[in-house]
Amino acid sequence: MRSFITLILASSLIAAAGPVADFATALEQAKSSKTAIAVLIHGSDWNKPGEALAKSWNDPRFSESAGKTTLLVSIDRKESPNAAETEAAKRNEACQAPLRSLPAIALYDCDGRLVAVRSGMIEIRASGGLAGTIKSMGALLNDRDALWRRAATAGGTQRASLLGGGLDRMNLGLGPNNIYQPVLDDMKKSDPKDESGYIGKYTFSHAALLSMVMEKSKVNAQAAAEVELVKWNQNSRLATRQRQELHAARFALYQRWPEKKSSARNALEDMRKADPKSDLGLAAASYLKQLKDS
Amino acid sequence: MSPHLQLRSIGFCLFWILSASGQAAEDDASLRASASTPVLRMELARAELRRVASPAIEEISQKQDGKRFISELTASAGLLGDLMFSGPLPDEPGKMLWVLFDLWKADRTGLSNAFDRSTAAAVALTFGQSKWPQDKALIRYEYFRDSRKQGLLHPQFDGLLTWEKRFVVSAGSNGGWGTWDDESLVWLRDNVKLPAKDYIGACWQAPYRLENLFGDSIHGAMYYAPFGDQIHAKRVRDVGGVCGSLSHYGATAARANGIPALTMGEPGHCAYAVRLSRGQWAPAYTLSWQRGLHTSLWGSTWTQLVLQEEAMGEKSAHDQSTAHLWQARAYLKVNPELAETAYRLALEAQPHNQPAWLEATTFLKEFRKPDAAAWESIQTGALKALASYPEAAWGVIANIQSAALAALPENRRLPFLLEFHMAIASQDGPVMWDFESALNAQAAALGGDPARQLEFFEKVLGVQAGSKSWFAPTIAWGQAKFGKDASTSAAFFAALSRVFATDAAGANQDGLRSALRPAVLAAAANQNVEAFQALGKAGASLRNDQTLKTEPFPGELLTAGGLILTSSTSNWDHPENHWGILEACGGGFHSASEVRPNAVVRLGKLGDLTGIVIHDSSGGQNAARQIPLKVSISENGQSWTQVFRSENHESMWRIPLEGKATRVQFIKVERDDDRQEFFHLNAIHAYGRRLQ
Repeated sequence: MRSFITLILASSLIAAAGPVADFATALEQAKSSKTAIAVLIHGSDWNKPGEALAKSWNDPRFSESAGKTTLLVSIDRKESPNAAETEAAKRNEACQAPLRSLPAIALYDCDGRLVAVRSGMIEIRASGGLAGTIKSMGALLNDRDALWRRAATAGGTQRASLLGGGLDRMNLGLGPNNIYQPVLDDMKKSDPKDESGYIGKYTFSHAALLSMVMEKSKVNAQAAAEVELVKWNQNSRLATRQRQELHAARFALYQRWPEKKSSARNALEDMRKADPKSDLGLAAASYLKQLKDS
Repeated sequence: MSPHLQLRSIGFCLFWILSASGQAAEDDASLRASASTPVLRMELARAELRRVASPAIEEISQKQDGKRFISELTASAGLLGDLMFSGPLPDEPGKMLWVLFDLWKADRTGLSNAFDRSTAAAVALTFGQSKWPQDKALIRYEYFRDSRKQGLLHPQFDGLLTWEKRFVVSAGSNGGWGTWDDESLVWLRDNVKLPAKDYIGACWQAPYRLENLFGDSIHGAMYYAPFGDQIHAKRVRDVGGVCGSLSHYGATAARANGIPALTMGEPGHCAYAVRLSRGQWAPAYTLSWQRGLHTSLWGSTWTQLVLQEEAMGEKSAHDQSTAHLWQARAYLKVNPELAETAYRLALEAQPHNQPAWLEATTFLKEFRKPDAAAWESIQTGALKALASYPEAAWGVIANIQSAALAALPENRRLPFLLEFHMAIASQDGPVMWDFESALNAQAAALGGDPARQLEFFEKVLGVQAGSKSWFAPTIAWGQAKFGKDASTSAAFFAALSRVFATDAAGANQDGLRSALRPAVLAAAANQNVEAFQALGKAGASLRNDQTLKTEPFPGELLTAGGLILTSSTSNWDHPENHWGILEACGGGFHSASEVRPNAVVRLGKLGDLTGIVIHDSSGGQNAARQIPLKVSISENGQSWTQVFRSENHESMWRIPLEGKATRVQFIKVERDDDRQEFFHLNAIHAYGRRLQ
């Protein structure tokens, strides 16, 4: 198995590219040329919003600019493909981005790992349209790889921090099918005590914490659950949403702990303060109001 | 003239006719002629609309522009046709007219366009139902009109007829208006745009969570309450939900994009279905055949959905049948003889129009009181028309059963009941259905005499013994009804023995065994979980009390209550023990000697697995038969993911799967080489968290 460091060094954008017939061919070329792959997924026989995007994608001016540094693959997910198209589509089966809506744009690194995906016109427009999305995704990959190149020569906590920073850039967690698990494994090896906090960040599971709270509450072991939650709260690396989820788990705990039920409001307040305008901040405020009204 | 004289069987479908008087022939010809062309049928549509909604027509005519609306509606073959020939009218036809009046006032020009006109008719037919709010209809119409114009809907929508659009514009909650409102439609249209078949899996964009992140249960008011500011569809995706929310998310996403879909109740579960193309409904997140559709034109069963697709797809025949039904209703009280002729013509025009059968037979019961021979003819006609849809056929037979049996002499009752079984024995129908309730109803209709009911059971078993679909449920029903009761069990086993022609007449164990073995295999082959379970439990007395020593994974035993299908059976196989393989007690199967033998387990509950435990008690040379052992998982029973392979024999293989098998309904265990050899195991247990 190739070492993770090799993967890091290999994923830089260093070669010219351009349009490629299918994802399988793009993967082969990406591996040899160390080039990223940008993919447009649309459906020409059913997905009207994707039509304009596909037209722009196929415009020579776009492939000339975006194709300088990236391999470009257009995947047409037809509903009624003919036999030849069905056969050809098999060459795109390795492109398995989690897509909630089409059209979508995805960027893969030269090892075929997903770096970013924008599903549906709402997300694509929010990223600046076709050109803006490709540009911002490319920048994100460059940032990630710059951090990971530095990590390749670093050790200990610093290495884990740089690797975690790279994961942060993508904001995909450990990616679909945990493709970035080797990064986490490297972090664990470099920083066994998690002094960087990144191991905690990338193993944080709100569902697991809530489940722990429920189980311990059932057996009147709320104090042990609180210790666990306090430990998590000491991790300064947690993302804002994770911290809000942690406070929600605290709330769930105090709701099930008669002696400390009064602390439940504090947990909601902490959740709200973490980011008052976010969905979870608003939910905490709403819950507080409902508690007050009841 | 006595109706008894009028009712004569004349073969296929035409179960009763007027006597051959000159007047009857004239009536027949006249009714037939007046529904023979689209123009004439439109005249009947006008009459029917006046019949069912004249107060609303009067009231609307008093309103500003009301007369003009009514005049345009009745003059417009397009709008009136869309409204009247698109399946049954809603339960409040007057309200339907008011809704259409609102739409007409808001977009009179738009209603001259065929696309928008049929959308408006579909909205009126939907919001004309008593549980739908009239004041929300215009928003719904405008949503689909404008989304289509902007190219934001799936192109399938452009080709939909009014009746098909009724499955689109009725996006809501459990078949009615509710939290899945037009804001959710907009959000889903813009955020969940997929090829039609991908909506089958769209429900899983929302996570399955029994508790929200505050620890509040889905069953309480606080699950979604803190997220009240969010659009419902978005909060379901972000907060999560259980089967009801997830299925509504998937179905509403399809509908928001112009694709017909519906939600449906299953025992302890909510599933949904998406219409991929004309005539092709695909169930989604479904766990059982016991489905109660939340949206339908004909009735709440899956069979009716399939049958309705076929009937509505034959537009000319369906229009003609509908027109004759209107004639019948108009004459119902004033001239029952003419009504009877019109009903006959309705069925002649479209023999598999099940609602027409139900309406016609109800009319006969109430107004014509057929004699025994007529009832027999009616049943024969209904079965000829509907036998390939056994559940639909039973719906009609159930409607006439008590009246028919009351008219029949004692010696013709049992043959009358058996005719249904003879008609369906070779028919599988589009889906499994509650066959046992039909047996219950038939047995009950014979009176409370157990001897008579046992005779009925034996006769039915004789008929269904060769049936792929109805044999196993017949055995399961008989076992549940007679096999457990000391006063009837001896006679039950004797009946079984006679049917299976064994030497063990009257001997419980052998009789039961001989009946159960083929029945268990048939239930498994037919994926009939309920029958498999009933038969498995029925075989308890044949199994040794045993406790399997195992090391479970966390969570519930998800295989319990499921079904196992083995690739083959053999002389060493005891199918009565198959049930135990999935349960804590353990059991066993033994395949024939073959290449790549396997067992496919359908879990009792769709689950997020923590692990699988497989037991094999064999030792010595026989132990080698199971290796190399390969285990795969699947959500749909078609595409498989390998999760385990071992070259080493164990008495217990433990396969941890935490986080690796998050949505599993099927497990396949197989020997992964090309040897021709037997294959046998004692337990396949999956543990984890249920997702239903």
